[in-house]
Amino acid sequence: MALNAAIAGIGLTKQAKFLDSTSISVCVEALKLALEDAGMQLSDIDGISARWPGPGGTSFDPGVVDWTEILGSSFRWVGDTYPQGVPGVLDAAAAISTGLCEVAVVFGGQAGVLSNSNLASYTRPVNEFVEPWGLFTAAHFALIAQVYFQRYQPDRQRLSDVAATIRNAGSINPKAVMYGRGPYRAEDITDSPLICEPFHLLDLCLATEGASAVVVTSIERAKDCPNKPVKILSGSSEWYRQQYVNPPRYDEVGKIGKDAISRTFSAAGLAATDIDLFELYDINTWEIVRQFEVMGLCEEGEGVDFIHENGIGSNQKFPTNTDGGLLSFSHTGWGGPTLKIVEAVNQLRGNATTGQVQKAETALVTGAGSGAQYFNAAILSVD
Amino acid sequence: MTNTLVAGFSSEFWERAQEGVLVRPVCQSCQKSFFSPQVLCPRCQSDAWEYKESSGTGAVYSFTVIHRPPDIHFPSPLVVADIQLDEGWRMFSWIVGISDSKIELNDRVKVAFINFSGRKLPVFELAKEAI
Repeated sequence: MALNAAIAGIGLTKQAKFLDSTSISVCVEALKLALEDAGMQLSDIDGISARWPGPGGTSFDPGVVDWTEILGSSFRWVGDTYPQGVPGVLDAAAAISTGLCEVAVVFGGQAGVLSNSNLASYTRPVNEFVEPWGLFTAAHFALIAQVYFQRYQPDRQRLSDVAATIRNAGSINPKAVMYGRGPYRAEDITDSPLICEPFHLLDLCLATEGASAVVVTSIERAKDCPNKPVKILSGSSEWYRQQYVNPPRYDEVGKIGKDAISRTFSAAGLAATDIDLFELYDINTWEIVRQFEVMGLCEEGEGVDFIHENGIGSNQKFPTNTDGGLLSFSHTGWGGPTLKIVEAVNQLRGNATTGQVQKAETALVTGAGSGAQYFNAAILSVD
Repeated sequence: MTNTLVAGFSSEFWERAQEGVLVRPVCQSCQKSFFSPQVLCPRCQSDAWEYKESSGTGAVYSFTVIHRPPDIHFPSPLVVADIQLDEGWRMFSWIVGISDSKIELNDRVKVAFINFSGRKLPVFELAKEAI
């Protein structure tokens, strides 16, 4: 059964290293912006997929139903499985396509929670066999990257060029947290401090604050909204393991995403070479390279050379992370995955703040990655 | 919920570590070792498993040198590794007593115990001779 769903509205708040606000406040701000963008009101929503950040409510996690108090609504559909990013939007699209609801919102973000410590607390999983060793998210990815680096010895300068290209897209984007920083050269990436080998500081994503939201409805209803509908063509996920518990291994999850992306392309009747825009989950530089390999655009171990030869800038062959990505635009914890959808919609509408890709009609959006041991992908398109 | 296996299914690992002994769950049904401890064996879903002493020998599947540990009570740099134990199980740990530049993937290691944060932690040292 094909999906019959489109994104009718998007909302994005200010993104910053710290916002003097609350997670609930910025989430509602993003939600209202998305509804306004869709020409709708709170009363139009009958489906929701959004993590409850507290305070208040229950200790259930993700606790989506807790939003009923503040939003004053009873919902017909609640997406409590993975309420953000690609899976949240795909679940909403499936709920709409099967008549479980008509208008669903997916939103998330954070504010007032990041302190000046050098590590966001949510990147440290609470598990008695993980926590004692001082692991954090980036270190899980590093353990996988180390095996890849040893086997394939990717050209470090070319890998750094990937980070520099995406960071430079953020440098010129007034909405990016890192706006005005840079420009970056490959040497700047490897000159930045080593955090966990092989990753330097500028190889790694941000930990920032802000929120984003999307409104999903049927294609028919989206046509009545003020903006061009962005259709949700297809998508798929791979859930190998719970994230950040047991050691992730290259031989098990190094190519995670290959099946999900293959199914996503197949369901849309498209190939990677048909895609105009790539909004890839860039938790670190190497994950972008890895995703070019699992997309089947090049062989395992050849990602940096492929990117070097073809280009990932907004005016090059494979425009990638055009807003600056998680590396430079923003990464708002559980709100981060939804930022990828928002940028894809902006691009497909022709409304990108900076780095607009010419004739962008189809976009691949991804989430998670090898170190997380799960992955998801979706294709969005405009007519 | 009062089943003793469920209530204490992971505590024995840490209790034995305090005695300087590395243990891991071994399934009595399929004979496989697994880690981290789970209520049921991840291979055959049997609840009949017990902790058995490990030889403590294995190899480095992967490692990363952390130059910015998450908080100040950790040493820096910190060598965090994914250790493949010879009995067919894996665990996160540290490699201690050597500079990072000398570690390579698949290097042989042996367990050691250090005092850290008020308890004994099982860590690994590079094996001085073939084991």
